[in-house]
Amino acid sequence: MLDEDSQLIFPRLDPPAGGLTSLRQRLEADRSDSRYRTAGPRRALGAAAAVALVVCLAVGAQWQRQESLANLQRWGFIGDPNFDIMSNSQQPHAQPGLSVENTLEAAAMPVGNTSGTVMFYWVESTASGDD
Amino acid sequence: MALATPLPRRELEDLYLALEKPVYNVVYRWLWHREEAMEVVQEAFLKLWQKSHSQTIDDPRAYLYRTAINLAKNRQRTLRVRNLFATREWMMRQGTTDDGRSADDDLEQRLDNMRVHIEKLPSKLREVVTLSELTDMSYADVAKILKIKAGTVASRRHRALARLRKSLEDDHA
Repeated sequence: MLDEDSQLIFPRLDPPAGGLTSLRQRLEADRSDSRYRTAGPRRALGAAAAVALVVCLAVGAQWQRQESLANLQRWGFIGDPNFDIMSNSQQPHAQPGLSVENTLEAAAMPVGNTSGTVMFYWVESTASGDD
Repeated sequence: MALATPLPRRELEDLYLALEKPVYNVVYRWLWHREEAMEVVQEAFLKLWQKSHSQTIDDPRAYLYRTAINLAKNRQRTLRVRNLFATREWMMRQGTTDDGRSADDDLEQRLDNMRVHIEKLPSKLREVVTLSELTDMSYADVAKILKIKAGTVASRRHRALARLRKSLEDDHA
């Protein structure tokens, strides 16, 4: 019944007149909206902000790494043959017997403190047998 | 059909001339209100225009129908709330029914009768049946708009029509 009488069930209405004119007016009003005039500069500003953020993060990470190295140096761990490095199992780059510098290079991340995900245990491996 | 960004004004107007009526008819079956339906149609075209300024729209027609249906559903909820605070008598004094139509027109009466049956349909069936019955689109086209399979369009249309048929028969019995 519906297939034959679809036009009866779903009569197609004519939209009110003047639709295109009304749309044109809306488009004109929309075009004068500042968002389109400033879309280019805003995009450029957004891209610049994103680049600046990445640079800041990279510089910050490098600074933290240098700080960690400086601390290790100050505490006398680097270059001291009496100290070896061990790690917990969550840090694959740190291996017993690997030097501090090499471990830091391999991890490519700031280490040297006991907080956060990277945690090193500095163990004296002297002839005394202490661990 | 991939469009350059932004959508050229001329193309948008051509699209409007081609799709104003079918989009209006689909939207009307959600709102049952001429002015509100027209408002949604215009808003959908405006959104298409605005969207084309920020990204390439592969299928403007599908985007347009999808947007129009979503806008109509949102507007429908708003209208329901508004109608809670408006009396039918007040609306009649303004020369319209509570959905903004002339009460005497045969066509309007027929629409009013059909509204009862169409509104009984679940949203998913209603989307399919209005798009397939009022726009001359193929199942594949409707499937693209609703992001479902063409077979699903066919089965939902079949179910929608069966329910409408049953509802009409019950009404006449």
